[in-house]
Amino acid sequence: MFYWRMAWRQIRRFPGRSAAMVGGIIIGVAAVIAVSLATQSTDQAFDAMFESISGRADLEVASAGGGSFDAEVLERIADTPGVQLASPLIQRPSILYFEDQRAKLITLGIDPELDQHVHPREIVAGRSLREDKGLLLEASLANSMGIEVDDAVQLLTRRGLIKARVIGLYRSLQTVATSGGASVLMSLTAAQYATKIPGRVNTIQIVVEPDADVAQVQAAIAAELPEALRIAPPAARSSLAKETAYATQQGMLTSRAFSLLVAVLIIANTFLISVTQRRRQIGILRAIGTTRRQVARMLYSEAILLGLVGAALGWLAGNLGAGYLARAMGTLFETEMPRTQWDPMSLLPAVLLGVGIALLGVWWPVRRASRLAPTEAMRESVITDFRRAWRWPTLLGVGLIILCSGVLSQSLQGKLPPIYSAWAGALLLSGLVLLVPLVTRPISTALSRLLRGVVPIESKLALQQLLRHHTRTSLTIGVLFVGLSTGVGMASSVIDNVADIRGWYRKAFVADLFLRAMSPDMATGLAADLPDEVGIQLAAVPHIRSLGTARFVAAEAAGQSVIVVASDRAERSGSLFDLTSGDPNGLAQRMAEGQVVIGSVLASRAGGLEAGDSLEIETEQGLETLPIAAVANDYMAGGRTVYMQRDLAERLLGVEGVDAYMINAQEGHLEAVRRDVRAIAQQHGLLLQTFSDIQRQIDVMMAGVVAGLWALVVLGFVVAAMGVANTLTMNVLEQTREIGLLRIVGTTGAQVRRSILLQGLMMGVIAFVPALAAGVLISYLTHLSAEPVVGHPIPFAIHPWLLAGSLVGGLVVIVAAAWFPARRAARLPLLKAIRHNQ
Amino acid sequence: MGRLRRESMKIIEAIDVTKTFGQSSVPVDAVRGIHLEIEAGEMVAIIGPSGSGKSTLLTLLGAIDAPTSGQILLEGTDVASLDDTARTTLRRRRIGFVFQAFNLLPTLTAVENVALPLELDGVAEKDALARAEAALEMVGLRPRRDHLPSMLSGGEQQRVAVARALVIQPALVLADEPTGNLDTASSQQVTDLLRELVDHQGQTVVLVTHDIEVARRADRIVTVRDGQIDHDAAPLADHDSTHSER
Ligand SMILES: Nc1ncnc2c1ncn2[C@@H]1O[C@H](COP(=O)(O)OP(=O)(O)O)[C@@H](O)[C@H]1O
Ligand SMILES: [Mg+2]
Repeated sequence: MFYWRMAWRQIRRFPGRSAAMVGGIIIGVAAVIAVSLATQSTDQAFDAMFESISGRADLEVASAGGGSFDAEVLERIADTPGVQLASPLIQRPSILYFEDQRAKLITLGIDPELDQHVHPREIVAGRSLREDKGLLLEASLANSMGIEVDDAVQLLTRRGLIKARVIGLYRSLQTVATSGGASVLMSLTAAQYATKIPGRVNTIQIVVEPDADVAQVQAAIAAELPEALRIAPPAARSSLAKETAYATQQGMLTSRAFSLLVAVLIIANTFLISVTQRRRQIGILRAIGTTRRQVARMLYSEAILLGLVGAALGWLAGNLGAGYLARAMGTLFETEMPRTQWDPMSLLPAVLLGVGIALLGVWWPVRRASRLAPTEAMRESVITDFRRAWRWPTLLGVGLIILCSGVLSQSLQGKLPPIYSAWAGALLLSGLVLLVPLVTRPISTALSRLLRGVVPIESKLALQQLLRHHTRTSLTIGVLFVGLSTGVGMASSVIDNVADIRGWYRKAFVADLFLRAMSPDMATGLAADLPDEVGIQLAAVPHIRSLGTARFVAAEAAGQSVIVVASDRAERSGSLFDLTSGDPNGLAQRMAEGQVVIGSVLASRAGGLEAGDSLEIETEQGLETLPIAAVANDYMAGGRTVYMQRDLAERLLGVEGVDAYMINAQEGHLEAVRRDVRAIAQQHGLLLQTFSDIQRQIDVMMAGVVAGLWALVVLGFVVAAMGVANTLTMNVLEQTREIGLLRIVGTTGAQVRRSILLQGLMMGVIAFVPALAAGVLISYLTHLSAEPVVGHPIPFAIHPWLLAGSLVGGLVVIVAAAWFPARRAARLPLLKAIRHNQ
Repeated sequence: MGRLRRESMKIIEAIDVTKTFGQSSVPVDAVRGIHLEIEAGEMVAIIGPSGSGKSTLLTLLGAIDAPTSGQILLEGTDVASLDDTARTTLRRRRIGFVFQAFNLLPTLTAVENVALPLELDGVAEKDALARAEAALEMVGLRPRRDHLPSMLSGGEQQRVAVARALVIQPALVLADEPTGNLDTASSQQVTDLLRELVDHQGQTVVLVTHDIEVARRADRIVTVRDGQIDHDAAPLADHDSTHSER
């Protein structure tokens, strides 16, 4: 109790200082919580999406190509020993229209008798599919669209827009309701009719007898299946979606590592200042009989209290931030994310983390403080810095740099997972920070010499003050260094990545007009069927120069889950791909001959495939080997894509239907074509987009994530400003008496102010020059570590304007942060100053 | 005089004590071979030029620092042989300190400052505060018990510091220029207070001072020069006539 009381008094008496500490803790905790929750909720969204399809099934049979297959195998599977039941399923993304609203959802065709054992559902209104014919709609979706039982809705299918009646609303008894998995149910036969696959299904969901061995049943069924069919536990299928989110998650994890580092540094700096200021008090405590351990306990109690406050606030901020991040990722993947849960259980880890960060940050200052000699109580001189401990921080710094460089290079060569490079990068920066004290004196002395000609008195005063508080100065420089280098590194990565994505879609989407039901889901790569009638209508539109189609299907190639893009673009040529390997000339010809173009992520995941290699793909006829014509940058479906000619895809994978039409008009007839196609689009409730529409759409999708990353850059500057303001305010407070004396012997207020501003600027210059270099390095490392994720090297560029802007911006921020301490110093009332106690 | 009423008993004894600062190139011999005995119920003033080693001697007597060589026997225990924690505990229980200025923790009220050494020693908060209040009463500051140091005058702060030194019922009160920062009136008040403690409670007080008026109130004046004792005697009778009558 006693220690808590002492700590609480200290915190209350020095709210500004405590706030700086709490601020540091908030930054650390919020970053970790926000990133963890957002990552978790994206994963959950993908899980839920697949769970809504697979339900209680232990095993799932699907065709190798991902297309439909004949349902005749159903009986044989159901008769296999150990199988409790086998339920057929048709699943297609689709669009539901009601009044003037539209919603993306998944159409599920089910056998109502069998399916109830796989997907326990509760009918909350209306009737079930066993009692009536029509559609069953998920209750939460129906509510949000205002649909009631017996309302008529329209559903987009290969047969066009079909009118159907909603006979009931259901709620899943198994999955947490997420709009990400919203689906509409109809009978199997109705679905077969709507998707034009009579007698066929997409998957068979298998529930195993409770006492049967799943692996044995799987083997038994596999032996029975025709070659084109595969059996696997359903969970495996969500990995494709999760991998898509991987790159973004990696980016966030990296920023989390840096946020933690920055947090610890701020805390260390603030607390060091705090205990330096309390040197004499600590000396008195020691003199009147406080043991070292007791001093440490008092200070740790303070850190724990601040850690608790910071953790609580950081938890709040983190939860808010998580909502934002999850929404941003949702936009990016065009998936509705579940609302991030305010998980009260996450408060406990948050508290542990907050207290942990606080204790880590104060560890060194406390160590120094508790070793203060009690004779400090009797010192008459103005309080100065702790004596410098050179050796071990330097050794530790050098050690960290060597170790982290090793880890980094291993990680970049792919021998360690990429996340190691984030931590190694952050720790490498810490290592550099530990070496700052070595250069503080020589560089600031040199700077002061340089300035002597311009502002002789001020530069001398500034130098004295900086060196008097050597450790504090060095730590502030460290904070500035980390803040700016992280900011610049992130910013320059953002710029390069955005440039890369733009480069991709400029090439990938080249047509005058795009007609489709919806943009393909970025996560699954799948889109709703277009009515077959659309193709016929389009063919009749005059003045169309070329009409291409695209169809996206899931498949397995080179041991990876991929999205096959089947296309019969009439004018496909090299310029449509952003090639990283292969010859653009004659590409169309080679594709027509049966070669494929693969996405760069797939290429690198499959062990560095290049043009001229071959790709093994699972087809209805078994494993097929296709020659690779080229490798292309691709951001669709996380770059795990295979582009092939339409007829090849029909033959190998049984592809049917169309997801999108690409239309080019004849010279001078664009308006006419657009008018005609718009009429078709309106008739079927489809999206008609121009190239710039798509461009805008992708920009909007990226905006959230890009904004989040820019926020990090700003945070870097804010952190830096906090560090400088803190240090200079403390310096001014301690200098009060001296400043008073200087003023009395004739130093002007302006000179005093300039000397304080100069202190800030000198620290800034010392920090910023290496920080810009480190920022470029961070960005380079980010690029390298992103390569295995993105699948191709992102062109690395140095952005002189960014660097210059950051430098100027940083110095401006420093001057702003130094302004108040400087003004305060210049305006000190003289008499008060020389009477100032401590 | 007060001390004559008591059996003479050594509270502390310094035997050939030296203290050297700075291990490296230019060592400073702050204390050089000092012998000193202080008896219970004595008020001893240490005077001498600035830098002569007065404060250093006081830190050695008060177990704040260990001597480079020699022995310090506090109530028979050799301070030099103790480790840091044992020395700290010894200070907490047996020695009261008053420094020149900024004696008090700015975050604690007067009474909490006084209770501090007791609480550090594990005395329950309630008991500690009660005893602290009694000590404040003794220095005449009970009404200011809940004031923060910043609300007290310099003289009052020093008296609170004296109360904190007393609250543990120490064997020895050590004061390093306790009046150095005070005006004449406050200085007089603090000196009176220390004198009273010796006279009425048999407290032992060693104080370092620059102020000859303060030194004259002591029973014994030790003059230190260049780290050595130059002089050790009762104040001269002719300067002390008014006080000796007490
Ligand atoms: N911690 C220390 N480190 C180095 N030298 C010290 C230290 N403390 C005191 N000294 C030196 O020891 C000598 C005596 O100091 P001090 O005891 O403070 O003198 P006084 O109190 O009589 O003014 C001085 O020369 C002083 O500089
Ligand atoms: Mg002294």
